[in-house]
Amino acid sequence: MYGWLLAIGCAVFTYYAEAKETYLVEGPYEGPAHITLRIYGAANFDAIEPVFKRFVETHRHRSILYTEYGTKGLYEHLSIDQDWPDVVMSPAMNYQVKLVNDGYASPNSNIETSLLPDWAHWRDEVFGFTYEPIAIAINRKIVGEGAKPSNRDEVLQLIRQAPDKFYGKVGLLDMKTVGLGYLTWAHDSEQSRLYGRLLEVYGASSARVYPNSSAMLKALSEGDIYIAHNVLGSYALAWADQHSQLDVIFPSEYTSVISRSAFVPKKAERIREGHEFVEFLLSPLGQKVLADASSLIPLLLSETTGDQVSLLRLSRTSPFQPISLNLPLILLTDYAKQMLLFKEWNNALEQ
Amino acid sequence: MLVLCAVVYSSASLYGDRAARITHDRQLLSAALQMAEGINLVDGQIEIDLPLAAFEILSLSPFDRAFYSVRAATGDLLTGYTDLPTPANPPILLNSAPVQSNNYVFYDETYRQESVRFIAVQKRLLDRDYDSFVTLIIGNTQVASRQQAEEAKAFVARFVFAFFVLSIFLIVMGVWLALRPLKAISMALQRRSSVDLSPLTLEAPREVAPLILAINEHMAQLSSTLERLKHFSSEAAHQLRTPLAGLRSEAQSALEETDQTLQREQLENIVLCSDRLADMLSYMLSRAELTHRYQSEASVMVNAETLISEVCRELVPAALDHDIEVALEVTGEEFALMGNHYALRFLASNLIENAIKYSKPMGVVSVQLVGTVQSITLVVKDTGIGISDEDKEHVFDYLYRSQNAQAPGTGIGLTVCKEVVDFHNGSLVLEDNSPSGVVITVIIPK
Repeated sequence: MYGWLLAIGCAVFTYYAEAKETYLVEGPYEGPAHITLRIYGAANFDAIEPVFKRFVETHRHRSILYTEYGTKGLYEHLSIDQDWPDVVMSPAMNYQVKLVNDGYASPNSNIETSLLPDWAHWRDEVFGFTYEPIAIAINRKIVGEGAKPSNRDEVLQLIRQAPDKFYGKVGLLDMKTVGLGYLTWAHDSEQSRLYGRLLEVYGASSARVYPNSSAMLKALSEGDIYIAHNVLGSYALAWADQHSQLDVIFPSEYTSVISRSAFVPKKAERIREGHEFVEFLLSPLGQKVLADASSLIPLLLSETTGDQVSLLRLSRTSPFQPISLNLPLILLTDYAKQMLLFKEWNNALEQ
Repeated sequence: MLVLCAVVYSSASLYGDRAARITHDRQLLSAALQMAEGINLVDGQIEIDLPLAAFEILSLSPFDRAFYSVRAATGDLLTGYTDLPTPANPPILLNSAPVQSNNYVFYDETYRQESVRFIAVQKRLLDRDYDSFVTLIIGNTQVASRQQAEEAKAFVARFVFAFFVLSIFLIVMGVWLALRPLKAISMALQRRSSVDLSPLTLEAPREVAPLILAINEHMAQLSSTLERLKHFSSEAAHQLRTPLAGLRSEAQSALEETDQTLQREQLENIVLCSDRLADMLSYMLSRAELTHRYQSEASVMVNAETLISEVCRELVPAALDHDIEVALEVTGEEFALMGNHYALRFLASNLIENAIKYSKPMGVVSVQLVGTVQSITLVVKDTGIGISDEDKEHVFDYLYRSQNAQAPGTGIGLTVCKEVVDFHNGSLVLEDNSPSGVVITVIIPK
């Protein structure tokens, strides 16, 4: 048992000068028919590694070469450089939809889409495989003995009551450079009547911006900031497990839910094996690995383990509103729309 | 019927295509109207804030992709796809109204390897010191629209197929039902013995009743013909037996006679008898032929004047040989009548021939023909020996021959003449001429 687990080697080396890193997950069976699947993704390798490991264990003659990108960097690399791997995985649903709409994805008819929620797939081409609420994480100490805020309104009130205390202490994902930051912020701008006030209050408190959820959660746990707005719920819950002072809030008026999605490019070298991997992601086994061994939350409820998120999901008053993996998301890749949101952002935060 | 089905199907599929296209175009237009709402002038700058609702309209069909672009009047791309095909006839901008029916166009192009329906719309942007326009293009793939058309076609195809099968079934049923009485008739005829000519007594629907009637009529005719034939042959056999017996007894006597003179007389009698027998046979045959002809041939238009003239011309030489004169007198104008030419000719010929035969030398046979609009009258008079009152009663009997007949002949002639006249619904009257001879008057109505 240990013998072949050890054989799953892990090579880490820098691929480009940029913040891209490449990891190799080798399968235990060597042979002439050994195939190395190239996957580009935006998930932290630590979070996704258990899935890769289980895949190469259960599929003979497979290894995975994973290249980690930022969500926006991944999109630009694919659409501009036209460098296509065998599978593309990203939580930036707007970019995934755009790539599919542009005709770059190859359809998969093996996947039983009726078993998936409608919002979690589009055109038999792109499939969501995780369920990730977007949370607000706070440092419990700043609330003191008072009640923990449960929605955006209460968070804003908290800041307004003590503006000096929160000055420079609010963290946001940089919507200009982080794909997920843009997706969640733009989605809020479409959904929330509080968007204007959020912008105003965060601007007034000179919010700081971070390049990803992990960096923001690190800053939160170290006390650099007190409030982390729009972080990945799965990461936030993982951090909260280790840092007791962190509280994770799923805003009760609505909590956006994003789904990491995967598709096989039309120009992939190994289309068949690519689809095989996507099918594995959605299989009960793949979903169970996500639930048990990774910090990510599986899409299919049947494989979850009664954690906080799945309990909330089942609740009749569930605040979760999944963002639909569908055509309207291409509006969130619209250049004019971006310019408008950036202008508002600049006016609020960088005056 | 196949052609009809094909026509119905193809027109229905055209309709399906059209309906799907109209629905799709409406959807595209309403998305374009919504997007155009999001393009405005703000402080002299074009601001584009495309509404989410427009994209939601385009995503109503879950499998279709959509493309869009907004370009300034200069052609510079403001946002959206860089390479969308432009319409062959750009929309014409008429006024500053947001979007009107005459400033958008629809067109089809292949884009990114798929057939795409496009709409191009122009929106005028007007400010105090700014007057320009933007061109908005939206494309939508046609998966759902094609699917809708296919569904309509499939529905119609099912309907047409069902209609086709049902019609074939009804036609076959109809033919079978309609032919069933005919089959019954044919079965009934097959089952019959060869001599059974009684009428068919089948229950038949109205449509085939005339057929049964016709068959029964024909059978009745056959039956009466057969009856006559039987009668004729038994009668003929009977009539032939008497002269044959006579012949035999004369020949027997001649064999036993020792007196030369008497024996010679008897032999001459035998010759005479044989001649009469031969005559009788020939009359019987000609009567059979006559009956057959006027029963089998259809009636035709006959000109009585021409017919009488011809008959007289034929008989005059033979009459003159016996120093008998034939005088023909024709009065009136209308000589045409419907009837059997052969039978009427036989009638005339027989009457005149008989008159000649029974006339004495130097006698005169007078033939008068009167044609009127109602009838044709033929009167034949001779100055011969005449017919006794006793004979007049029997003269129409079959094969009757007067005991005092001197000239060769048979009793068949007048019988057949009477038959011909009856066939033509006419009348034949026999009277005495004065001082001697016979007047026969035949009247045939038209």
